[in-house]
Formats: sequence, structure tokens, C-alpha cells
Amino acid sequence: MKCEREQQVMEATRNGLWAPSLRAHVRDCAPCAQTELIADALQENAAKLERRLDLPPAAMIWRRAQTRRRADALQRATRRPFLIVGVLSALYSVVFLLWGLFQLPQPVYRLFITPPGLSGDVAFAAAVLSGILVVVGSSVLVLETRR
Amino acid sequence: MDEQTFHALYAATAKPLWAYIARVSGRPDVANDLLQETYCRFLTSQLGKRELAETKPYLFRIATNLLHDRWRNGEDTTWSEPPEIGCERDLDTQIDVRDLMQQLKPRERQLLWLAYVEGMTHSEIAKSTGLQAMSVRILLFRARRKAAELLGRKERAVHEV
Repeated sequence: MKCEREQQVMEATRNGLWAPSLRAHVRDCAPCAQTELIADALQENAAKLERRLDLPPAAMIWRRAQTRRRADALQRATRRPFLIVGVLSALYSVVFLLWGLFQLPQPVYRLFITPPGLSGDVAFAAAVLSGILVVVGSSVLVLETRR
Repeated sequence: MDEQTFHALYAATAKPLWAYIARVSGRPDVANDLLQETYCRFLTSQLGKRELAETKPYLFRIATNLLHDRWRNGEDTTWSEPPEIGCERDLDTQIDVRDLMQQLKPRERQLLWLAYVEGMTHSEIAKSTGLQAMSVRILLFRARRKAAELLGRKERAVHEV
């Protein structure tokens, strides 16, 4: 059940200006009487709360927001390079794994003896590098996914 | 938004926003934190060039979302507003309203406060709470009926005493 004059009753409780016709209406209308009862109690309570309120200073909130804005901007700026490094690392690790698959049937030391043109030292350095990149790339990807 | 504009906005909106958070959460100690977080999110959202009329519902929306997050995390599920030490107890309003809010569900507190204290229309409440306007109408009607019963009961008890 809703009364069309409920909004007027709320306005009147807020500004204290009661038209005689509205006052008479509230006496006969149950929803408006309820509205007056609740609005009066809540508004008075709100006024009391606000009077004895000690708010944090606006300048402090402003500084905090500025700090956060700078941190967000920095995070946005570093996000893309890290993502690129992560993707490249993942790509490199796939290539390395494919290369490693060809070496599996041979003894371990022969893993580093590779097709003509690629020496054992180079292969070893590549293995170490790819290992590092795999760890870095995976970490970045995991962090980005979580975010 | 520059700092001076923000100060003006804060002066115009912080008190009602704090009262809303405190009364809906039942945690005045939490209200300060949520108030700061609300303004921080508002300022970092880069939507600061709105008119005051648009800004206020937006701030209430952020605060409402923060309250919802706390409830989802299982925080503030119980009303824990301490009794006011040294404050005059007004039987007709202060105690009634605290008791009333304590007995209402958070959603009911929210709707009643936005409608009767902030004077928001159903569509404004819908924007501030994320509900449909039609749902606001129904839920507000139920909340009002429940609140009126509780307040009426309290009033009768005071008169009998």
C-alpha cells in the first residue's frame, strides 16, 4: 500500500513546513503516518550523529588518494613490459623444450652436444638462460593472472 | 578535480555519508575507514568532474559496495555500536533508532536511511544500491512496515511507563 503524498510528507519532515491539508491527511492515512514516524526518528538521529561527529581531515584523504593514484599509474606503466617478458619467456621455454625432446634418447652429456653450428657451451648457456626465463615468465604470468 | 574542489565536496557530503555508513553497518569505528576509502576510490576513479547532484549518489554507491564487500567477507554481521558514554539518552529518538536499526536487516537499514534521511527517490536508491527500482519499492514498503511496528511498539511501551 502506497500513498501518493508520501514524498510530500518526507519533505515536510525534512523542512518542518507542514501544510494544514497535509497535516490533516497524515492523521487519516496509515502509510503517511508510518512515514512521518520513521522519517522523524531517523532524521533527528542523523542530525544528532552529525553534530558530534569528528571527521578525518579532507587534506589527509586527498594526499592518500594522490599517493594511491601514483601507485596505480606506476603499476599500469610496468604491467605491459612485464607481460611481454612473460610471454617471450613462455615462447622461449616452448622452443627449448622442443629442442630438448630431440636430445632425450641420447646420454645426458650429449644433451649439450647439438646439431652442427651449435656448440655445447652455447647450448648450456641457452639452457641456463631459458631456465631463468621460465621461472621469471611463469612468476609474472601467475601474478598477472591473479591480479 | 583540484584540491579546493575536493574540500568543498567533502564538506558537503562527508557527514551524511559517515552517518549512513555508521548506521547501516552499526560500526562507527569502521565508518571512518570506509569513509576514507570511499573518497579515495572516488578520486582515483577519474570521474571527479561530475556535478554535486550526480556525485552524491555515486559516493553512496561506492560506500554501499564497500559495505557489501565487508558483509560478503563475513565482517560486520553483528551490530556492535557501543552505548554512548556521557551522552544524554533521549528515549524518544536516540535509543529508539539504535534499537530499531539493530533489529532490522542491513538491506532494510540501507533503504530506510536513503529514503527517509537522504530523501532519495526509488530510482536514486536503485542507483545507490544496485537494486532494481521495482525491488526498491517493494523492499522499502516491507522495511517501512517493520520499522513502524518496532517504533510503535517502543512508543507504546514508553507511554505505558
